[in-house]
Amino acid sequence: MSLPDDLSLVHTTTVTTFVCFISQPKESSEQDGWSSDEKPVKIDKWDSAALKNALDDGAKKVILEGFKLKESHTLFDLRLLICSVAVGFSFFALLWDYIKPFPESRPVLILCVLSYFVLMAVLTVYTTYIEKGIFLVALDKDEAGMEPDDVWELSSSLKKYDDKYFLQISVKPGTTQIIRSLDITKSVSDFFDENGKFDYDRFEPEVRILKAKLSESHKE
Amino acid sequence: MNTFLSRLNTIFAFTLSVMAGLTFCCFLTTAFNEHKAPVYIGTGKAIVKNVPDYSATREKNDLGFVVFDMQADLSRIFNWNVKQLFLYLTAEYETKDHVLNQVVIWDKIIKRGENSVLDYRSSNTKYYFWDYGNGLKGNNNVTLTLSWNVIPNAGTLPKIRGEGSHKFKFPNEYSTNRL
Amino acid sequence: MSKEKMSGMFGFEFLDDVRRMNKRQLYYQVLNFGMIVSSALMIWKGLMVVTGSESPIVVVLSGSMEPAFHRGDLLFLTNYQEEPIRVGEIVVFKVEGRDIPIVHRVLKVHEKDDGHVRFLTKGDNNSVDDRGLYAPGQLWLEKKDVVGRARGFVPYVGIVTILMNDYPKFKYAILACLGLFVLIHRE
Repeated sequence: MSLPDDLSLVHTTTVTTFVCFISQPKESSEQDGWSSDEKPVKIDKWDSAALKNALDDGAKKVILEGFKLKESHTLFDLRLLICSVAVGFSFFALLWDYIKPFPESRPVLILCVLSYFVLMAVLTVYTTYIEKGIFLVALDKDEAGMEPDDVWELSSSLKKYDDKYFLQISVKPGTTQIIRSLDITKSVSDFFDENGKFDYDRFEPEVRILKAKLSESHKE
Repeated sequence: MNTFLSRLNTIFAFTLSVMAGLTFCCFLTTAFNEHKAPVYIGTGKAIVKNVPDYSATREKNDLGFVVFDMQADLSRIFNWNVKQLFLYLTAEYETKDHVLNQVVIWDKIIKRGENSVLDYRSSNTKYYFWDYGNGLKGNNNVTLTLSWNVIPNAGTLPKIRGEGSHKFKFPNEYSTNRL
Repeated sequence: MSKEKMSGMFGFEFLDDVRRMNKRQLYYQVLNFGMIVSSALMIWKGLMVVTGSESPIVVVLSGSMEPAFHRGDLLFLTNYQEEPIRVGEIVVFKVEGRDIPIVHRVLKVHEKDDGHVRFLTKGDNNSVDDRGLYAPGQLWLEKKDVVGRARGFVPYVGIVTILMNDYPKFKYAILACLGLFVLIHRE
């Protein structure tokens, strides 16, 4: 259940950089993640899910491209697995009911229906108690390869009809295993303009400073 | 919530859920009603013939004739979640071939607001009382019951048997005179 | 690159969300769509198992049961084999050679001691019994013809289904729009 590491995001990014480079030569160095040369993210500013996704993606970019941490996909992959199995059960039920019409297919249907709803319950528990809004797990590899990895987790929330974006970064150092976290709550209007264009360059420092503070505190 | 369409959509969805909720509450208020009522049924003289049933097999089957009296007051069954009552008078009996025979010989729809006090004297049956075979002659245990199917505005469709029934018998000889 | 240009040219801005997704997210979008379909499917199959009927919810299509049921009313059915069929009950049955099941009331029942039962139906609003509707030569219905018996009733709700079936293009357009929305819209 491990998909090959994704490259498409990086790919489009380089392409855009290239286009930008032709149109307006700019002194920006290659992809460094501290500033964005991508086609700016523009969303419907009234859509809170879109707002949250844009901000989450921004924070992700800071951590992965700015700080060059390695993303760990396990958390999301497990969710994908649960969903896949659930959908698998339902399609199997559909197929079985087609091959052996109803009264005969009853035992299999019972099994599939029960499994499906149990998996949905598991999924709910998983997203509320295990994922808890975490949208990125990143590993900070020890360069010497001696110590276990530091595990960074980013979680966020944005209530519907509310403009306050809550972002939490927490770190579990491989050496001490003592979790420390810092968070900020900011109005989304700080990072989006009237038209819903995401201003990455204003958002990036917030995340960078948060991350840097945490890094320092755990180095001490 | 910034466009006309999204507001319309929200209002529509909210209206629908409120209506669904209210409908369910309406169903709950009457869900535990028993819908019972006493019924008096009586019959006049019954006769039985043995004639071919051209609507079915064309074989000779028993055909019963009976006139009935019936009194019942069903007005207390009606409430705000009863759209109509479907009344039916059932003749139930046992024959050699069949342990259970049920034949509806009369029915009536009473909508809410219509007269729900029944008073019938020497009334003829609405449907032919055909047996499946020849089990009516000499049958001395035919039970008449009035039942009703309550049709709500929304909810369950209970089938209630009226309190009180009437037993009668068919003669041991076929009647030959034309009725 | 061509993709990028295309979007600029035709203003497919609503696809930007999709373009920003990685493979996992794309797969999740498809899964999300699959789960919406699956939930509906599983609720339906679950109802089938609970009620024992192959179609636990039906929409009344004709006026033959008026004034009890009108076109567009919704009926909940059960079909427990151990429950006997009795007169006065409203059954939904299939007739050979007819695609659409019929919902009518039982008028006569003749049951043998081995449990084999023959019954005759009639629509409340029809003046004659259903023998004319049955397959040629068929005089009685049997238990195997029954799809379910009406247990619950909700008015009007089914009119949506009727409208959709009357205008199939409209139905497919709506379904396609909803499907597309779910696919390209991040939760």
